[in-house]
Amino acid sequence: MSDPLVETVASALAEVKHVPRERIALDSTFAELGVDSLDAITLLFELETRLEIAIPDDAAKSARTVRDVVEGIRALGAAAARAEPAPIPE
Amino acid sequence: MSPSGRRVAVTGLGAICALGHDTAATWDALVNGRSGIGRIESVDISGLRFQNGAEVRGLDPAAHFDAARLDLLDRFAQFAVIAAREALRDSGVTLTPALGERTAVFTGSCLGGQGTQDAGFVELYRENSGRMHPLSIPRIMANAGASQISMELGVTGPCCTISTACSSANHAIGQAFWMVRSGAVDLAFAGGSEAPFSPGHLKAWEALRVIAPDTCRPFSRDRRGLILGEGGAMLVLEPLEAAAARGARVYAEISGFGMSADAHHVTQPTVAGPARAMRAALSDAGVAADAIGYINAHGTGTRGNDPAEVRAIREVFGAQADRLAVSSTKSMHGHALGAAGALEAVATVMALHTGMLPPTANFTATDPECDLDVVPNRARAASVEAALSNSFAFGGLNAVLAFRALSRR
Repeated sequence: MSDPLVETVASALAEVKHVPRERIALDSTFAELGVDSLDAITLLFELETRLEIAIPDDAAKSARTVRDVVEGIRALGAAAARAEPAPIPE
Repeated sequence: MSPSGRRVAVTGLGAICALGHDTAATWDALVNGRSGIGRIESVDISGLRFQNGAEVRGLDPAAHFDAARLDLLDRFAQFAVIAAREALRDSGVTLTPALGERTAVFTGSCLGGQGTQDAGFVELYRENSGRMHPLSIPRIMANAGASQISMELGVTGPCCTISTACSSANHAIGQAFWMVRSGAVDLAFAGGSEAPFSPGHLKAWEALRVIAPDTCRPFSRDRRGLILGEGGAMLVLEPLEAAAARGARVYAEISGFGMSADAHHVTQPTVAGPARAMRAALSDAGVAADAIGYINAHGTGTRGNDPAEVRAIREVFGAQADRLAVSSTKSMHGHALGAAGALEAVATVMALHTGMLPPTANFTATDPECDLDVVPNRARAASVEAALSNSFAFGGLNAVLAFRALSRR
């Protein structure tokens, strides 16, 4: 998982679920990780902050795996490709 | 005779919502399937993912309250008082000091005066004002509606506010009903009010990703979420015998109340919790499931709620479920959170009183997971003996009211 976007998604999800980063793989499913609907929208909120992007509701609904989230963000376009964590406003 | 006390009549109604500023206007819209949902006007929505809401339009607070009183009234408390005034007037009750001592006020509110709080925090944090307005606390407190009603009408008995998110008003009406039934009080004002349209609050809903970008289509295959609404509604409850003795018009009997908690998840609904609340309401009313002809559903229009509610109804009613009419009036007045159950109680009571069932508006196509008779788009004439009104809250708190028709005039 050297892809920086994958790394960003995985670390954000680890933080949301309060689990070690190592437990999260690209093909981990939300079901395996115990990610429910509230966790999922919290993850999207985190990613919007870190990547400085806006994720529309409709794009967000179908994700079931870490890979879905990564691919969904890539599909959102060039802005989303910037995987460096954005500075969080003070 | 109720197994546990006096029979309780609904003798007064008051309502203000996106459909109109009183019960007559609200009912006229409901029974004509006319939705009050439109583009949000009271808040700058340029940075918001959703655009639509069910706002109370054209309200001139100065036409209802003098300037000094308005200083104390957040919009949600204005709605509570306006609805209570109408309900009292409608009931024909004369509130003497002696009766006032034997009268209760139970209001539901999820948010209290959050609009006042939001505006105050903008001043404090963004404008660096360094202070909050001295009337902020009396405006923000969730019991402001109940307190303002009691002060204006001279109600000196038990007055309180219940806050259980989207079930607040049903919990409030249910508790008031039990107090009248048991003889603890002889009259009650019961309902709820809510004013959720502030920039900060809308942003919080945006983050939950449950608001429809278009409109509210409960039970419809292409439903995309809920639409927030605002307003207030109040019912006057009194013993049926007292109502008959004074020759009052009785809209319907309130006959049962059931509650349950899912003990499961803060936002995901269950089937078992709502089913237990419906069973509890039937049992409390002493009514058989097959006497119920109409359910005013919680019916938020979200992907999650509607199929779970349909399964809960099927679990409680079995084969009878296919003979029930089930509609969600949230399709017209929006989801008014702590006022939702009160507006829906008015709709349910009027349905029993007039023999017209309000429809589920904005309905486009049947969802196989929501395959009940949802009275799509057009009201229906139906002589219904008894009805339920469902409210299921975030946090898994469920409250169901049961009503019974009395002879129509």
